[in-house]
Amino acid sequence: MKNKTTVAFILCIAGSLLAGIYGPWWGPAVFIMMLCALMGLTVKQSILAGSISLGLVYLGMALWMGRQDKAEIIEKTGMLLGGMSPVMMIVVTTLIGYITGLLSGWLGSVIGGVVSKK
Amino acid sequence: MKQLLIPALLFSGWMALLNTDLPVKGNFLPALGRFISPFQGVWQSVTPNETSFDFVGQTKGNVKILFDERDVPHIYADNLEDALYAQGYLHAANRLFSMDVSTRSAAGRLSELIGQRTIAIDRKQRERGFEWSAIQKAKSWENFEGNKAIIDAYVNGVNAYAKSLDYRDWPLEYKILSHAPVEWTSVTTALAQTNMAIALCLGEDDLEYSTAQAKLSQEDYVFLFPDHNPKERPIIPKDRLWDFAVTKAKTDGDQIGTPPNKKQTEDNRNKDLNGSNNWAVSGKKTANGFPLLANDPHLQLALPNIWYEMEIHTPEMSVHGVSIPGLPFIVIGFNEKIAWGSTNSGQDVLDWYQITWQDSSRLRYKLDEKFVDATLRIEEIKVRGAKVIIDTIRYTHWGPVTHTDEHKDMAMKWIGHQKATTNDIDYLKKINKAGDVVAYRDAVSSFQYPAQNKIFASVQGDIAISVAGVMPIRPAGHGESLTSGESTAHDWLGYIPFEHAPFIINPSRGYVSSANQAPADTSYPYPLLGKRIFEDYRGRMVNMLLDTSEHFTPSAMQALQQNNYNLHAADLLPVLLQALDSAGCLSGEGVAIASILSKWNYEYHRDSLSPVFFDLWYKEFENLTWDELDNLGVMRPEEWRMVEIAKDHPQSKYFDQLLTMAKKETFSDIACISFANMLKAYHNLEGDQGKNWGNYKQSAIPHLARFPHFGADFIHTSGGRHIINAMSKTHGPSWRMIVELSSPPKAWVNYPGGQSGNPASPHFRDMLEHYFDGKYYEVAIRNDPAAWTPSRQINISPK
Repeated sequence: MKNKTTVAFILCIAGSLLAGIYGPWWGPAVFIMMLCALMGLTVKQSILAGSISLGLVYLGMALWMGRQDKAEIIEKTGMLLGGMSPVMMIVVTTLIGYITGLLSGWLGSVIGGVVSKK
Repeated sequence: MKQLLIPALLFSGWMALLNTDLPVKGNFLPALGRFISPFQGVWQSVTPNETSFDFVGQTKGNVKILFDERDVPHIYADNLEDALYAQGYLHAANRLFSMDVSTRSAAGRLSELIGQRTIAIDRKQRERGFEWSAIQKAKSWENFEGNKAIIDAYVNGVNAYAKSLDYRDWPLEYKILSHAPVEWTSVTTALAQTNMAIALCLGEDDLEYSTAQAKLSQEDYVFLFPDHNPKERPIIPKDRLWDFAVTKAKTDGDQIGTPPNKKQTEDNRNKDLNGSNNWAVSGKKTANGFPLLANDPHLQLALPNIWYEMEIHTPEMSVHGVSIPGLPFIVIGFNEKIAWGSTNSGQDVLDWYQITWQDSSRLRYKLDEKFVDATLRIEEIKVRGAKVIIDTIRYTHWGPVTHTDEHKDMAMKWIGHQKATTNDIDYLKKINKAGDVVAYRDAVSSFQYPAQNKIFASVQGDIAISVAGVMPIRPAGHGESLTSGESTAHDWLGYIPFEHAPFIINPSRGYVSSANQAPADTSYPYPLLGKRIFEDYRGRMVNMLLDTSEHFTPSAMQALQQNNYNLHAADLLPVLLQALDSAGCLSGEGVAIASILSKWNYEYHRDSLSPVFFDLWYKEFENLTWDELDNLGVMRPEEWRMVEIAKDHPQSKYFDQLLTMAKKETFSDIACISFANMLKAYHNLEGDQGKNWGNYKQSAIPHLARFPHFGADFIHTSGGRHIINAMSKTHGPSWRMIVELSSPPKAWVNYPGGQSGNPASPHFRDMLEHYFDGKYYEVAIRNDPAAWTPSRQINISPK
């Protein structure tokens, strides 16, 4: 049980990274949804794996890109978008990743359940 | 299946929300899904995409683009079309958003991008028919041989870059506005030129003069608004003889003195927003015997800079200089034989005609004793997030009706709307390739608008200046004020023939120069309108300084471009201080400040405090003096005239205050009162503004789309109006160039900004500090691509 969640979590991270790099912005969400459906995870497992993995991927990428931001683009853009600080931009990014992963995992798990019942 | 409903709904709703631009307080929050995605959106815009790469393009042969240490590209192509394809590609890669916004602004299509906030701007541009004239211009280009291939190559280059972008690579501004780059066409290229024309040749005072004539006595009008500044030093020296006959223009006095309403005057351009200078000095006046040419065109400054520096090599030409993103070729620069530059001429090429409608339907108007149909053009203004706005513009014999009022509509006749008689693309092509003064004159003969002072110097030792561009000839007495649109007899009679336009080569004084002043004195046979637009101090200052030396060097030219001496202040301040002294109206702090001013050298240096005192004092002095005119709604006289009145007419009735009926004030009284007011105004300055001139002036270079923090919010600068270094708050020298016409030529250049249009790039503003410290980069044409090591390289190969 625990191993399955861990595997799902690792696959979610790896898959959403690849889907993010090579696919459209919604690529990681679709990947997590399909993975959770195919692996036959429970709702709880899927939500956990999906939300934390995509949240972490978004957080990690934001931190990575933020380190390269020599021209303070994130700070300037944040100020333009209602006065958000760079930290708040990272928080918002992570939160969006987290919620997207959560909903993707949840829906994937339910789809998987429906399909396996049939 | 029921258990699917809630997660499916939540997931779909969430994704839809992330995929939608949300309106917030008149703006739009970009769809956060892609915008905040660290794989796609703003996070991917934090690194510059300036690398070396190869691609297959629509070229006939191979093209190499080598970038130097400032990221200036050097294009090496086998033919002109390939070079221009590469130029279009580079313009798009570095200025795509600027090109889009500036041409949308000219066309009246900003609301498609921004939303309701820009509807008023779009409406005004549509009323004026700028897009319509650009469409006509693009069509006319095709009538000239060779133009189509040039424009097509350039347009293809722009689109090759734009089409290569996916969302991840969009310029940041597009991501923020959540709008994809659009396809570039020959019409948008024409709009890029129209945009310059809008910035440079809409100056006129027809309605202001009409009001002044209607509300002032003839005696007062002549007193306040004389035709010529007796001290002016026109571009063409006064000893030039005009040895051609001019057909006398018809005289027709049917001018209208109807005062315009407020709305009609709102478009009046700010006359302080000029400052361009150029001069060329013959080898006789330089230390090493080579001619020197200098040019610093002043424009509204923005980041990224309006210009893009580059070098183009083809078998026919090797040319270095600045280009205007959106247009092919180098606009100001030098090649191996010549150097050329421009300042705006500021001539009045826009007239207003009052339209008499048959009835309130405004469908037919009176022309030559009968009523004729207006042509209706439907303008559809698309607005982001709102309904389309439909506007009907009425076109008359004169042009579009742009100001409407009860029975007082006015039509605009503008040079930019007239059918092209010359070929401005041809001008660019010829001037880039020109090798001597004959080729330069041939190129200039093709220039259409805006009217400009085209300066020239060559390695053969020639220097010259031409007032270039199409300049209308009006019936005598017309063009300076509102004219009746009821008769075609009031129409323009034609254009000044090129061979009659002001021009001089190798004058005996050893230099040619211009600084937006009057092109010629009263002996010039054709009337040149624009007296209130022509500058009165900088031109005199440039010439005074050029008269002083016979051994100019490039570094002396650099110092001259950054000269901060204010001749206007030098003319007026001693008179004002003398008035204070005579009146004995000073005490306490006033004595100390007057003493500081009396020792001032009239330099507008950024660390100096005296210019702050003088500027505040002058504003108060002007306001008190012209209270009668302000009360009548009449424009103020030019500043040189004010100095003359202060010096020669200290008892003038204009110094009397409207509000003090019991007393009749004189010049001395106004000097004292305005000085006291200045002291109060100085103490009311906020923050550090009263510390020095740079702090007071608060210069800034905003981002092109006015995104806060993306520009340079405050720059401590010297200079100001009436000064050679005419750096004002956001208007100033947009490119500084000095060329020594040795063989091969050498140049020293700089501009406020950087080569990249990407705010994340180190080249977005890397030249800024250097620029405001008054430093230049030395450049020379690099003919051999193998002889130097580029910082990066792009190779284009044919399909």
